[in-house]
Amino acid sequence: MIEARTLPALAAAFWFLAVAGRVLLEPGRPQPPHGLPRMVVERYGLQDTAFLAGGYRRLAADTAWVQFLLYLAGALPDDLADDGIASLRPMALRVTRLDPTLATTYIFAAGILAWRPGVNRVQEAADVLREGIALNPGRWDLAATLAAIGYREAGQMEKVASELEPVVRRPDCPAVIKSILASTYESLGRYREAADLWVAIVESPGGEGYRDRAERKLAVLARKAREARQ
Amino acid sequence: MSAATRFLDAAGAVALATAREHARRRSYLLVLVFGAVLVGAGLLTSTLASDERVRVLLDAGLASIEAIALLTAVLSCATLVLDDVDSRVSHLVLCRPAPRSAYVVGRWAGVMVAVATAMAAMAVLHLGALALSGWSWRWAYPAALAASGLKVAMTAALALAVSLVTTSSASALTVTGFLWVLGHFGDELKALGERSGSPLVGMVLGVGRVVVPDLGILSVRELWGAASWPGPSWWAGAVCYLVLYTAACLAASSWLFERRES
Repeated sequence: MIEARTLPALAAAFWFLAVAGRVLLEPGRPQPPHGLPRMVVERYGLQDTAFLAGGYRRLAADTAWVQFLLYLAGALPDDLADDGIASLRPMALRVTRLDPTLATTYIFAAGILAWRPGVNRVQEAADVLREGIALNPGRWDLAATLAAIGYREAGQMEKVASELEPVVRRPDCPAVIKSILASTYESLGRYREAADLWVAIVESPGGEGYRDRAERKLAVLARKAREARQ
Repeated sequence: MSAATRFLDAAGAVALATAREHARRRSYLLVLVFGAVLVGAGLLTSTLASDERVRVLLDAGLASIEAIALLTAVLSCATLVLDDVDSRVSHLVLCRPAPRSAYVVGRWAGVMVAVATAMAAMAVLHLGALALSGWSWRWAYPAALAASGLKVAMTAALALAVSLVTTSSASALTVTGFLWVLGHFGDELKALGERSGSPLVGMVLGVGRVVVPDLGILSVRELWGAASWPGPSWWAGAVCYLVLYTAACLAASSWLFERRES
């Protein structure tokens, strides 16, 4: 039986073994948060730090993502021109610097910055995607979106479509990129494919918010298809 | 009957009584209800998350389960033995021919049984919500839950040891909260040490980082989307680390209790 006087020695032995084991485990340790670029702390620094202090990095990023979406819902489309959209990039980077694996944010933000009518912040979109590619080397969809932006700038819309098609086939592709591809198909006169994509957007998880826009687009596409046949 | 069997029998009896005592408490049921509310709140919040609905629901649920379990375990362990000593309940138990360390370990184990049951109940609710959202099962889920349980168990053992050192529940809670935060800032401490430029500051932060419990070591839920995971032997090492640290805290608590009650 353990005697009372041996308990301090036992505690010290367990503690020493634990600490030694921890030092041995150090080289294989998985997450490298200190390798991330600086956090964006202008507005929500205290909130993000509180989450990190509790050990909830992913939840901090999730909360930042929801706040980003709420910000977009408030800022778009009224303040598109200057003030409203100026915060879009830092708001997106706040999410991804908390957790770069939330890669939807890169594509979502770049989609709005590069494609949304009236915004035209192509360089910012490219910067956001480049950071995403650096932190997620395995995510080819980020590189494909960046290439699509380049082709769009060069006016090569067929190539934009061919770059975005594999991205849209990913199950986690955000609806905003699907809507961009649908609009690209429309500009190329590929109305059937555009209509199919709008239907797929509404039926996909998170696509309910696109229902009104999709209905309008489907009506426009039907009219354009009729005119093309005549 | 061998001494080890006698120890295990005594600790088991105390643990069972503690778990029953917890289950009968109204506050324990309230915690369960609060956990269910938090999982429900995660479900509501996830509807705002558009394309990342399932991820938000998953993270919010796992984080809520861990936070509720942590609060319950730490509050119980920081007050349980101290309250027993103050109300002299411990004297009734200790007049029996049982080792005092069995009483301390049994009290901690009883709280852990109650907390693990609450975690399992909340996980069932969470899995139901996830299934409704179209989430497909991954074995990382029970691994994340078990890792949270181990973290909570270690922090509770730490709270117990601190409560016997400070002899005040409030200060035990404060110190444990401080250690919980420090335990998640290991990487930041390392980065600060590297960037300070001063060898002394670097050494102090480096030693501090190793001495305080490393709670980030088994944060499986934080690695859900990571590109690569360490192998099984690394995870086994991380589990051993938490088990050894917990054992160290319990041995220290037993010794402190022996000294206090002798």
